[in-house]
Amino acid sequence: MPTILMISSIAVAALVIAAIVFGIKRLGKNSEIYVAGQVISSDPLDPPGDSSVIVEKDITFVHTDEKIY
Amino acid sequence: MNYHISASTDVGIRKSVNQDSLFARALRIDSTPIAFAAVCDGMGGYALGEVASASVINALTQWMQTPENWFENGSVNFKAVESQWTDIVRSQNSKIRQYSAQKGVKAGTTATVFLSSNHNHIVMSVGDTRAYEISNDRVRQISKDQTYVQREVDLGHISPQEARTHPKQNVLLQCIGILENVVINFWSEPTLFNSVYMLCSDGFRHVVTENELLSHLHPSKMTGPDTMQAGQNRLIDLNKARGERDNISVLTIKPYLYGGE
Repeated sequence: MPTILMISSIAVAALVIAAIVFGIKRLGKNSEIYVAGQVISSDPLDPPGDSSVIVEKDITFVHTDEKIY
Repeated sequence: MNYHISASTDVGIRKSVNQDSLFARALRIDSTPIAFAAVCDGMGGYALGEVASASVINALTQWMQTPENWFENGSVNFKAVESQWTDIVRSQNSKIRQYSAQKGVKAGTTATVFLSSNHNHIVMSVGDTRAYEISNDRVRQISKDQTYVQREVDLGHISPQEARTHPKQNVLLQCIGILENVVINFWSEPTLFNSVYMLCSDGFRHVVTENELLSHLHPSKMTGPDTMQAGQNRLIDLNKARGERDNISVLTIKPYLYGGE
């Protein structure tokens, strides 16, 4: 009986740890970093020095669809 | 140094079409923050003014998609930026001239363009759209108008105060799409984190004073996109209340430090 209890406790503890690690990873993937109220990254797990271009904000006002070629 | 950006445009109380075009982007490349902004004020009949201004904005937007041509070793190559913007303006000048010749009407656009990164910025200007630096105690015009009245001021024929109400204050000496050769001016300066950088069409600053610009766009009030938008909109409303007849456009960039810089 004690052996079964010990194995069960270890299994529960492992499940809890796995859930916490998974949850932190999910939170990281889905959260956004705000600096002074502005989103600076949509994926905080991106390593520093990543060569990707991150567009934080875009504003465009043009008043015609006509194009000059 | 990171950047907040904000932009507002209004057709105004007189015109039925807004011929101004604007583009701004805050981005990071290799973790380096960059702010880019451009304001173009189109002119010409038969809907050609807004086509001319949009064409230059579209060309600059396309240019932004190829940072490998102007960003290297973790920083902006400002010399390459100046060279490539020059090519864009010359190419657009030629295209707009051809396009308006086909339509049988003259059309063109002014342009003021700003790019800041790593505590430095470059400003390009053609015509009378302007770039300003607004610090805690003063408003400084970075760009210089290519206009008849500015030339008269430079020659000492009239004062800057007389230029504000001169009957020829809207006469341009340069714009993109009219003359065969376009003269482009550049300024390279340090970017101050406690200042606001503002680009605007002439419709935004005809009837407001520099003290009013300082009051509504003071760096201490420009804490984020919402407060920046509110300041811009108050000045647009003031312009309209005072009877400004042109389209009214403004774009602001507020650098700020973060994370132990």
